[in-house]
Amino acid sequence: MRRGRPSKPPARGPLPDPNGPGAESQDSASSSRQVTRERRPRLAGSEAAPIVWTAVVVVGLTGLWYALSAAHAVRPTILPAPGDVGATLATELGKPSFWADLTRTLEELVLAFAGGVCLGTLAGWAFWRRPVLGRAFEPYLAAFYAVPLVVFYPISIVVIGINQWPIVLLAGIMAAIPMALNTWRGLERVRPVYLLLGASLQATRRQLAARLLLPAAAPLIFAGLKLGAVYALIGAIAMEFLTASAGLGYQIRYQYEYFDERRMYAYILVVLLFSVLLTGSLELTERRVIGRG
Amino acid sequence: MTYTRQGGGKAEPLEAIRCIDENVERGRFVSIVGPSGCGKSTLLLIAAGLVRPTAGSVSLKGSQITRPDRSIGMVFQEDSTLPWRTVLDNVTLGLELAGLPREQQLRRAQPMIELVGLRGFEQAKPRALSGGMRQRVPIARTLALDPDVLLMDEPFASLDQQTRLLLGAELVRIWQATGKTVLFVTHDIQEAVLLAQEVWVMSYRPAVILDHVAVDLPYPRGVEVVATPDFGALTARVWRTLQHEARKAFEATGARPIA
Repeated sequence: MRRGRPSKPPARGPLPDPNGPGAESQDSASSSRQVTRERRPRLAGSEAAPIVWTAVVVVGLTGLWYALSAAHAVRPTILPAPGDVGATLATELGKPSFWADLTRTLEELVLAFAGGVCLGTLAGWAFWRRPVLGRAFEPYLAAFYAVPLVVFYPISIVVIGINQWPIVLLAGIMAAIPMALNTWRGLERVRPVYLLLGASLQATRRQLAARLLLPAAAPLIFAGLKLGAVYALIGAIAMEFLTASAGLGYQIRYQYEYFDERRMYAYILVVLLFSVLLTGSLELTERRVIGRG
Repeated sequence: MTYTRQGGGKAEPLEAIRCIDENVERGRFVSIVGPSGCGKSTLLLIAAGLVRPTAGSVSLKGSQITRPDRSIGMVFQEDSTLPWRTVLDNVTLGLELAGLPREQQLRRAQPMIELVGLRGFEQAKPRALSGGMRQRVPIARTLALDPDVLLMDEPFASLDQQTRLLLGAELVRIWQATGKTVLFVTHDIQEAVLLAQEVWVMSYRPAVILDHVAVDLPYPRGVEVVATPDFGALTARVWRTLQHEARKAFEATGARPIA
């Protein structure tokens, strides 16, 4: 459907411009054919350009980092040189403890995300099926959005213990909330004619859900998935950072406490990379699923 | 048959259809015209088994219709194509839900795609089609299930006049090729007379059938039929009956918003 539009509002206007020489040939080729230009090239442009620009941003930021440390503009205790951080990261990658921490965070995230998505989808479905339920829960869900659920972390440590489970639990709830709200809204916005169509074609309940409702609600459900993944990641790292026995967030905190900035930055880089991979893979899945063909 | 819509909450129950007792012979093409908001769509939904009448019943070939039935196909007023499916997969939807193997789905869908003139567009997404092309998709989808009865609820309402005329002619051709019974709801008097063998004129709420107009014009009816005196007389007759009802509808909607 109309996916991807909200995140790139100026896709029509300013975007072809920074496209550079590639955009010009497109323009001149399609200026005589307004209609095709309206539909096709914008899609192509909006897909190719961000990748290029993302690379430019990364290269630019790294260059800035190099420049700052080469000019001794920042103390190495605040921001160590990128080469040092890179070297530290390389040695860390060779240690089993690094992989144990990575696995721990990954495991927390996967469990929290999977649980949260299931819970959220079911809740969203229930809210849609039973509007009374939905109306009763909506204000709290909206409010939960605003509350950093991390505040419940200390108490859940007391109840569950210092291990991955309180993190999985809370990060799961964090993922479930946007998932529930988006599933619900997505289902609510399914055009009534699809329900009539399903009924007139004698679709079973399961067929109605799988063939009509969920695909129709997919754009919003995917938005919920992406939000949920991000929330779960933020939550997991933050809680590891507070108190944990392992994990990437724990390492960042630990190295900070021991004044080992190079290691700290190495782990921060890993977390950044991790989140880029996570959101990127979800984006790709969305394109594959919604933009089929 | 009657239908009273029970208003939810404070809304008063609305007597939508007072008494409609009609019989359509197999293979007939009947148009139903009426003022907007008169319950034409409701009538079709009841005929499709999607809405239960308050009293009375619908029956097809002697058996009562109490729920949707695959021998009754419905083409909705709104665009009911699924934008995430290709034209082909839209057409096979009903067969797929009926549990037919894919190979049979394809075998039954393809002739219908050709019949409605969508050959070559099988792999296109509905959004890539023009309004007139897109509106053929639900018709093919409905025909693929090979229903006995085709219920069409203003299927061309969102199209421009020229496309309507073309698709109307196509519909008559399809009807003649398949021999289905067609109930075609429209608010366009000319369209009703141009397509059907018989036109029912519906009153404003509570709806009754005010007049049955037999249209004895030979098929195929080219656009030139519109200029003949016979055609003029028929449309005039429909309009005379409808005029009063249309005013009622107009005043009712003007006085207060319809729920």
